[in-house]
Amino acid sequence: MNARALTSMLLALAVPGAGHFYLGRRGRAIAFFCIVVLLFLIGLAVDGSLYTLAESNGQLLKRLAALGSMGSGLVYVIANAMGPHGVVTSTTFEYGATFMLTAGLMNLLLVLDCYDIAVGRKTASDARRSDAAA
Amino acid sequence: MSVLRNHVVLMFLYSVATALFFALLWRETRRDQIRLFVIVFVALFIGGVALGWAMFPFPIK
Repeated sequence: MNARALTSMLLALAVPGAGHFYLGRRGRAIAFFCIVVLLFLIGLAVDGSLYTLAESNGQLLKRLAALGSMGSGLVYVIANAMGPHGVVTSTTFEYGATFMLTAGLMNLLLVLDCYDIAVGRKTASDARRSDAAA
Repeated sequence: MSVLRNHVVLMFLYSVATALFFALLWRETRRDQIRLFVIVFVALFIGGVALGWAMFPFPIK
């Protein structure tokens, strides 16, 4: 793996869209950032629970959910530092958890996409066309 | 924020965000992106509503 691929993947993992921004796909990077962060924030706003490894109690599904949610990177770290989230009695509790989990999984897909772009699996002409479209 | 307590609104937002994300991630031209967006959105939102109606005759006992 080359340094460009590694850098873009680490950036993408830390901040949604940052990897694409680094690789020159700026229009798309802004769109990805907005989508992932908005999904995560909506999840928090509707009382969704933030899955954490510490609270997984050794349960496989909760552990996987925590790993998926952690894919949001710094957004997850900041939200986790702000204290426990989630109101189980809320009617939108499950929705919120799903929104945050989806945001994390989306960002993990972005990390893989950065790798594809950096190693040349997606060509420069594709990038120009997609940026024009975005 | 009461609008965010509405299940249909949340389902709509989720469908739009997911469809937009995959359209931008998986398709390169504007035409293909719009096409995938519509397919994913319809599958998630309209499909979800349709599935809900389909389950109506089979209530949980």
